[in-house]
Amino acid sequence: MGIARYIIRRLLFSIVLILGVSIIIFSLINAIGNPIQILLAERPGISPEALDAMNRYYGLDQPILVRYFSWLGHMAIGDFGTSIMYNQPVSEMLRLWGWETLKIQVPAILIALVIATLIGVTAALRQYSRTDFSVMSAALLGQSLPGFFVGILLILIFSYWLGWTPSYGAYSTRTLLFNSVIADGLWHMILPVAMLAFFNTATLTLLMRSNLVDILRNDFIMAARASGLPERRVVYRHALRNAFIPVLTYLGILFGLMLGTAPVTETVFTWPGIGFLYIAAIQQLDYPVIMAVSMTITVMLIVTTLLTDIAYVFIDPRMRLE
Amino acid sequence: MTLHGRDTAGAADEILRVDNLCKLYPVLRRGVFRSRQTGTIRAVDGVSFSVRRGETLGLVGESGCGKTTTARAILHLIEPTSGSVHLGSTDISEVFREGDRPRVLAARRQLQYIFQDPYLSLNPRWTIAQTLTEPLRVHGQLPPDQWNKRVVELLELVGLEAYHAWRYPHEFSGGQRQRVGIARALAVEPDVVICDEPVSSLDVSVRAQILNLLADLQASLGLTYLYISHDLSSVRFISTRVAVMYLGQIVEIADVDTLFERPRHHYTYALLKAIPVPDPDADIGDTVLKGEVPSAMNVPSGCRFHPRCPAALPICAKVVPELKQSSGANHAVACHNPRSDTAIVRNSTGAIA
Repeated sequence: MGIARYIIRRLLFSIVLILGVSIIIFSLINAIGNPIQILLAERPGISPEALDAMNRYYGLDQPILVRYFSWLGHMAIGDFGTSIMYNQPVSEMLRLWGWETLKIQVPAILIALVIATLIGVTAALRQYSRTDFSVMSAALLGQSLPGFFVGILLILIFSYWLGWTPSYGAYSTRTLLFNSVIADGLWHMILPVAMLAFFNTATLTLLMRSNLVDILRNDFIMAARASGLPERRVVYRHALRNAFIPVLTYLGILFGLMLGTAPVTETVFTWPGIGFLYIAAIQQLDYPVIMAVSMTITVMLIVTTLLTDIAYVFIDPRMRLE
Repeated sequence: MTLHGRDTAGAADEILRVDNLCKLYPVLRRGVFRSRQTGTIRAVDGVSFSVRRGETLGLVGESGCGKTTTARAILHLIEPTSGSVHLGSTDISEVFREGDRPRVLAARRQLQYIFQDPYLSLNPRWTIAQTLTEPLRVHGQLPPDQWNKRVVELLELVGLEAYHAWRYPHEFSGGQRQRVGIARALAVEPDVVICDEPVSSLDVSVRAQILNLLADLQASLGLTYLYISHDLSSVRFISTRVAVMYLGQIVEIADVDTLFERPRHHYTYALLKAIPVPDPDADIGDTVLKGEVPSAMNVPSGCRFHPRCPAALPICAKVVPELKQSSGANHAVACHNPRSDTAIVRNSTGAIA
């Protein structure tokens, strides 16, 4: 009963939050100015009649509140309008380009989680050893290097010098690798996934190690040892589950911010994903796309945070009564 | 290093014997490529004693004197630097060094540990049933279909009820948690239980309950305790014999009444004098020891207590006193100039005159 009430309360709060952000996004876009006026500045020859027609077509002649609620209402039923640069339904574009983003982000997070757990556990069990020191330094360096720098370095080494991987795009334009869409797609995914996984691994390893070191100091770990449990089981049965709680939070943030971190990676590798689309839309002032992507980023972050909070309740019994 | 004399618990019924146990920690100055040792912390330095079957040996001393390190080194939860621990006739230091699984498990089963802080010693994400089943699973003494029955049995043994099994540690009070900690130690039917300050993190009101529980369990199950505490009144209540530790060494060991009434070491005497009494006019002015406990990294020469000792002689700064039998058969003291073997005088409030 407590859990149901908690979830409903968090859900309502999330909806309020999404509405709040939608107001901010809508106001900011409005602050840029009327797109028709901007168009007129570029092409002074447009007739006043044509401008009027365009204003009516895009609904720009309506008062701001009417426009906001019309935007919100259409969005609620999945209609994000039509892209100005591509003349396509934005919802359809989100689906297509979004898939490409998920294709590199999800594997990168999962790969990072597995590697970080293995390295983090190894380092934590040998705290202050040379292994631990090396792992910590590498992770700290990995976390501090800007993502685009690592991406460009990867391209330089693996595409330019070694020539093993393509340096841009999601598919080959002429001949597919092994004549297979899947093989060619995977081949193109290697570098972007590596760049994202590199950064995620560094952060997750540090988090994993420090949590585990903390947990291993607890008396209940010593109690497990005193009961005669072999060290491996002590770590995996008692320590790791406790150490995973903060990692879970960070995973939630990683999934939620997936679209927010996409622009850098996708620009470096010219990857046809949401991030690339977002940057292009901003450069072209493609209002419907900018607003749709902004809202998608917001909703994803809020929804993953909500899911993480709910997952907590099931993982950590201490949360259940409070 | 001086070999300290062994105390005189009879060899026949002794169940736990600790010989010259040491735990030294190197103090390292870390460089980028290599570390240099700049000192040594002598946390436990040549501790020897034995415990007879069915008795309670109290181990007292100030915070940081090495009580807990001694306990954990006996259990080999911390690897001792040197020395040996015998459980019955088995040298368990050797068992742990060799790591032969069945023998390690047998040693773990016979020697159990109750932790100081019941808030830290229970896995917060396990139900009490899971925590109590774990030792049963590890030692495989019982078939799985009897585990639940055993859990209920254990809970009732420590004064909890069957329905508590499905709760989590955070749903319990400190005293109840400590009961769970005791049940966990008793799950595998040990012979010796090391109680490491089992009541010092509890409210005063529940301390007596837990101490009574420990005493009852000892009587009904024939347990042997090594009871570690800085709280002299609880030590007096539960112990048969008492050992006093100062800076990693045992300075005096005797039967409980002898130690409390006829202490010979000046440190023991000072500890006894520092016990607060319910008398606002009691004079405690000159009873408080001068100075601080020296760092275990830089121990005084000779007798470690000599810089603070009111009766120090020149020899005390040079020669380490051995733990020697005193007048009574069960009284050993490490002091060049011990107090006379007379009973201490108390006034009407119980304060030492």
